Amino acid sequence: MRVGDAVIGVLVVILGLAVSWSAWSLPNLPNQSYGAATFPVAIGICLMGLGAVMAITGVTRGNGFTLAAEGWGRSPGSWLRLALVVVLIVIFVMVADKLGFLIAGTGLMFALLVTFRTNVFVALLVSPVATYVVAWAFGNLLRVPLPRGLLSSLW
Amino acid sequence: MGDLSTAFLLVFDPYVLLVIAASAAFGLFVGSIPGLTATMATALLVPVTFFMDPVPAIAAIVTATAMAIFSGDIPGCLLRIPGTPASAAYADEAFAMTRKGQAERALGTSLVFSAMGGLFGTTVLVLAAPALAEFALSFSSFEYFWLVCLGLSCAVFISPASPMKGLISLFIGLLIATIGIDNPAGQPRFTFGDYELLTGVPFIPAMIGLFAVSEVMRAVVSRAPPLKPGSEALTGVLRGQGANIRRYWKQGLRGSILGTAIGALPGAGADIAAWISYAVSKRFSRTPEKFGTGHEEGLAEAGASNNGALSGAWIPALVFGIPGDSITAVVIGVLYVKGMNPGPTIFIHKPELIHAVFIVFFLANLILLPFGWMAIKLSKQALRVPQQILMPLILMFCVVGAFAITNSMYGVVVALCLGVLGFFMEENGFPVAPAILGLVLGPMLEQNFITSLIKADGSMLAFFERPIAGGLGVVTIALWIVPIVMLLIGRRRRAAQTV
Repeated sequence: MRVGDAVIGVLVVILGLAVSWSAWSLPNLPNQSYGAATFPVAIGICLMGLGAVMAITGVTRGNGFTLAAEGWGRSPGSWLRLALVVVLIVIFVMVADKLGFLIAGTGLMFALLVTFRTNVFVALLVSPVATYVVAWAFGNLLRVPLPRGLLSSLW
Repeated sequence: MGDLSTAFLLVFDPYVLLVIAASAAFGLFVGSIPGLTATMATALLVPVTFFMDPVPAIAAIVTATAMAIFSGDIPGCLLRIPGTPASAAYADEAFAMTRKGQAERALGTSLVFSAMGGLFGTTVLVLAAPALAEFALSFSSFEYFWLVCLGLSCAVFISPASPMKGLISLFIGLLIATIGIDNPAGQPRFTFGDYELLTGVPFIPAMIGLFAVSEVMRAVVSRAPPLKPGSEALTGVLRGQGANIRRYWKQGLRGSILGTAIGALPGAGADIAAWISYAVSKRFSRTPEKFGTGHEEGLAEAGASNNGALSGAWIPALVFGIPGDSITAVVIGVLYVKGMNPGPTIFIHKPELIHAVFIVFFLANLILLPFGWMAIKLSKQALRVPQQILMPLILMFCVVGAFAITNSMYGVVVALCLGVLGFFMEENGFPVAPAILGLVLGPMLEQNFITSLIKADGSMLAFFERPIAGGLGVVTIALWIVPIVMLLIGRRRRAAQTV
């Protein structure tokens, strides 16, 4: 999905304004004119300037306030798969501690494989094996404390 | 001579050689997985090295990092997902070569010039460590400010997108870097009351998100035929590399020198070395128009540079105990644990250990050729897995890799948020690499900017008063002004011709 340069320019100006406004009141270092606000305010001002230039050039070049669904953007299926990837990771983040990595990871892997249009039987076979290999490599070999959850007594 | 022979005996012990071989395989494995960095490989090795003597412990770290920095090029080349941040500068270039059916050539160039850069950096480390470290130590906040500005300017100019979009991307990265409590006044900034945001946005999960998660998202929406490494075997990786060395020896040497020098500067590591070298390569190339289309000149220079920087970073670490980059920051801790307190006295009290470290450096960069060759051969087999299975697997690695950095789901959330941001940025022609560099160098830029402002009492002229700072400042400003002047001259000429 392509957003017109002018729209992006306006959004960048708004972002710069928000950053400068919220950083303005941050305190300085004791007895100094500089501190926590200096750098973000400078960034905000630069963003406002860049956004303004982009909006103006967008309008003058005719690439202004447009919103175009091109290529994959015209396919509802693509949007659905994209949303699914985000939703699946959010669900994983929410349940991984309780269920443990082996269970939540297998679920995530299976759902991702299906989202990527892998055959369901292949997904059923690959997801537990891949999750176990990842859990073994990171949990045992690299000593990353992955959440154990419900299966804490087993590994 | 006695110390040197003792050092040889220490290194060429079967146990140490076994450790070197095992850590080489480990480094290649970690580096080639997108999202897992050379720093992470070092950090993960520390608990293991705790049970080792000083020489095998240091050998494990040196070997693993040298391998990881090279093997980060493999997924960058074959799938456009850089394995480590140091490979990000030229991942697009290498991938463009893969698209032209020249993956072997790209990886071969990367391998040979990585070994060259590593050997050069080691030679400098051995011969000129004290002098170079002293030079770096004479830098004040003014020099560092301009150095960071130079690095950031290079990131904008080398991106194939318009400078305007590159700049906006850079400022978004700088903005993300301001999140957290780690600022001059120690005040929470943009944390919205969330205690995890107080620690800031961790760089590695952010990189995983911007580069890897966004790439997986592109794959899931893509209606084009899936992107796969070619089915043919990667043969002849080293074929033609002799001619390549003859053709690009200047670039290799320049990258090695620049990489080693940048590595020796505290705070500037292999990542910034690769970015600057790639930009320098393009700027001085006779065929700059070929850059971005699958041209190996930039690969040679930046590949040599990031491996040179690894050795360079050890110069201030060993001689003065100041970390050159995040890897040597971890290493200094290991040196203390092993009783090798870094500092000038280590050369007097434990010369055999220092010599052993130098020998390990040479050995690690020499075995990079056979081990790297093997890694390339095996990688193609691994990357031949169908994309609909490979992409979920990569996403799984990204999720676990992001988790491993913070030991919490915060890393995964950061990777996801920046993945979505990176996806929409690239969809609209915004390059993500300047954002990454802004995120990495933002804290350093802010710290040196505020420190310099306070020192100069707000006077901008003070930024040019010291000779090196002035020189760096002029180069940075020239980098911005010269293209604009050239553009204006070109326009005027074209206008004159049409009249």
